[in-house]
Amino acid sequence: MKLRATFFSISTVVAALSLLPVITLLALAVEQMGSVYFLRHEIFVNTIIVVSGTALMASLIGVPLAIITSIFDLPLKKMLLACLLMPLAVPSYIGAFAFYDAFGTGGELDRLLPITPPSVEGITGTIFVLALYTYPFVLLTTRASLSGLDSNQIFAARTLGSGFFEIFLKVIIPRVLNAVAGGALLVALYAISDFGTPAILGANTYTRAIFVEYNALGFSQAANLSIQLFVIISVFLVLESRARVAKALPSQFVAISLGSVGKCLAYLLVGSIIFTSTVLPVIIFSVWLNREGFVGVELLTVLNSVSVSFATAVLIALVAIPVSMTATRDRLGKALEKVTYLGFGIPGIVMGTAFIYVGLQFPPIYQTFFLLILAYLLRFLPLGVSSIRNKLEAQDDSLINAAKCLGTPDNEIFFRITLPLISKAIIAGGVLAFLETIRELPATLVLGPIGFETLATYMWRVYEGGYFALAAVPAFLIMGVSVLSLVVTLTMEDFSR
Amino acid sequence: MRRRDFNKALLTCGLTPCIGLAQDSDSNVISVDELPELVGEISLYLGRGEGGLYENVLKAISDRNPKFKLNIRRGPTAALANAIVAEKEAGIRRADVFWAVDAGAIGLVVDQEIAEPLPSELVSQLRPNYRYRNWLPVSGRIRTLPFNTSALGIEQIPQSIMSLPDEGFKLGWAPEYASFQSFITAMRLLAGNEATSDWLLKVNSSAKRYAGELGVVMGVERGEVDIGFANHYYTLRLKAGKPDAMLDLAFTKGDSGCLVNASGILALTSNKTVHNFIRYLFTKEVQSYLSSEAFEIPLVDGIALPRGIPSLDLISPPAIDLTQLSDLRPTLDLMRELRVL
Repeated sequence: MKLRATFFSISTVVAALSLLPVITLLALAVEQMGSVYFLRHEIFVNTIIVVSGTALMASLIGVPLAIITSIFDLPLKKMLLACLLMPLAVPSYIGAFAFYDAFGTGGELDRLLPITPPSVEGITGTIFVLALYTYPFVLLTTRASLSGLDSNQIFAARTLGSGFFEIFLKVIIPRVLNAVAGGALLVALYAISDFGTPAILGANTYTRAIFVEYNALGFSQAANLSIQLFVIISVFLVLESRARVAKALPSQFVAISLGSVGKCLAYLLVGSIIFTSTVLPVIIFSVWLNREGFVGVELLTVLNSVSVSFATAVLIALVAIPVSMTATRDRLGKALEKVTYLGFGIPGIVMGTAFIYVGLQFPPIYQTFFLLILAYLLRFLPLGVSSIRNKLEAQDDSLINAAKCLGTPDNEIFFRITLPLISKAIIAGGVLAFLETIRELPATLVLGPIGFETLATYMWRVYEGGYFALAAVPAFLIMGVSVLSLVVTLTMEDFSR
Repeated sequence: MRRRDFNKALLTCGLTPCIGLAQDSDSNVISVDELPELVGEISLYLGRGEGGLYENVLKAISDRNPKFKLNIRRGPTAALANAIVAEKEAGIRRADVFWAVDAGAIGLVVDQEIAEPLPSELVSQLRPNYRYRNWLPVSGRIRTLPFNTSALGIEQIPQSIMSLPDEGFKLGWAPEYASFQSFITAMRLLAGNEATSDWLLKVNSSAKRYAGELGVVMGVERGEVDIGFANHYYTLRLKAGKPDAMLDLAFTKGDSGCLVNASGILALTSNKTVHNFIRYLFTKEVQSYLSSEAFEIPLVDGIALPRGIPSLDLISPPAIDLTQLSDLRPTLDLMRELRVL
């Protein structure tokens, strides 16, 4: 009984804290109602163009790749898929960094190649880079729905005399449409919250505009823009929750064999995407690394990044347990859990601006690790909660019921049965939180205590100073840690299955 | 673009190699050897925008003084100035020293009367027209018009900043950069709000936007734009790394276009460590380094000007008191209103 009460109070506190940034923003925006601040059309339009452009382009890349890697019979399919998911490990601002400097007149590629590649910048550049690093969302959702495609449907269509394109249009597309929409909405949510990519490539979107306002300490303006942004994000979140697909297992999986021309085309497409999104940036960073050597980043910066991310990951793992336990208990718990999801929808730059203001109202916590880690906690807690809650929900109650029949107290049931069962999900959630924290840029930039530098903020400083080549070491470190964490999470999931 | 060459200069030149560059004139510029060892801890708010050169100076100072700990908060100069003011209003003091890349941001803090007065012998080291009571200009910079020499000749560039947008050139700018904003403040003070707002609107409708003024100068050199707005040293640094760059400097006459601005330092805490730390920045070693490597204009008497800058006598900067540049808020409001920011 006591444990349950403790869990409930922790959930309540976390849910209350999750409301803090939103309340702060509302208070800030209301504070200056005297100068009503109208919607800034240019920023709104730019953001919508970037978001829809990215979603469209990510779908144009992701859907064909999903088809290739699911219903066609290709050698090395598993490996190709793993490579195609690599961009998930690369934060898009690292890609933006590489493309911004390497492309265009006088860029790195211009010097290495006989031709001058077009420059990657502005709104089109932002769409291009964001799509290159977000298409895996579409790939994954589409592939999941295609794997439910029953080959009997295709055989039936063939018997009725349909050609490939007709089958594609009338059987495959309607089947995956919802899944593509779901993936595209995830892409849109990423694109709208991302700060680094539009900031580096110079697209004037909400996140960038909020940063500019924050730099002038125009809190009210920043809050106003933040609320507009939050409203748009909420719309996307609602749409996204509607786009869930019902899953049915097929009686017969589809495996279409391709002729040699088809195979070549498929490999060409897969190869060019892998090359552009992953290999090219690695080449560019290697060129820099080769030229400059291992310079710039201090060991302390690496330690800062690792220790603050580790602390956050442990905290999130610990807090996620009571929140998800409470969520599976009753409706109130479920509601509390929903509130903690707010933070996930608040972009880092918005969270940072809100918390700077909170800090100024409560001087003892101003510019402290407390506020920084609290911001991380609110942003990334849902990663831990969803991982654990999924496991809890899939769990068979018979063990617990048996224990109850034998008169085992609740506390003992939790520590001896539930906890061991969800331990892998806890670790997986913690690893995801670690991964997100170590590459988090805007909130760290704004909230970091004095003298505190992480790999991500170091990259930003290098960008502002224009000394791009110094970004090679931190870029490789962030990518390396990301790949490692992804491998760990994937293996954990396999074990727990 | 030879970004590499900037990096090299940055990374290889510490303070020591530059000691020999100091002028031999018998001025009373002190050397680092005459300063006491720094002991204790200081929090510095450092305005970003100078790449790694100020960092090198700070690192050299820290390396020389093992008992001294320097905590640095980095940010855009205007943001840090605003933060200091906001912190003061909240009753917080985090920074002991503020080193800004721009006098306007210094003025913003000085206006709040929270800057501590500095020892008079520190102030008297500076050239006579750069002496203030509670802040010190560390190094000077001139507003210039870098232009692409393959696109146009210097005689085609008007000598008035106000008429520049009417000439149909492709322009490049970085309106978010603190020095640019101070230049606009100067323009407001000299030409009035209306003319400034016309000027901003004209430039905004056609100019290419860059994140910083190094980017502007690189854009000019690449030929993306004909003329840019930038502090003088970006051009000199780029040309030092790439002597054959199609790039040169033009100056306007007697208006905000050739404003001489300064990076500056002020103290928010008054103690021996803070004063001695500030003294380091005015030694002949640091001042010569800033002149020879960063191409900034030394403001201490008796240190040579950087290579490639015409004598200060040939430039006709506007008559404006640098502290007036603190009138930054109306500038930001104007730029915001015109959707420049």
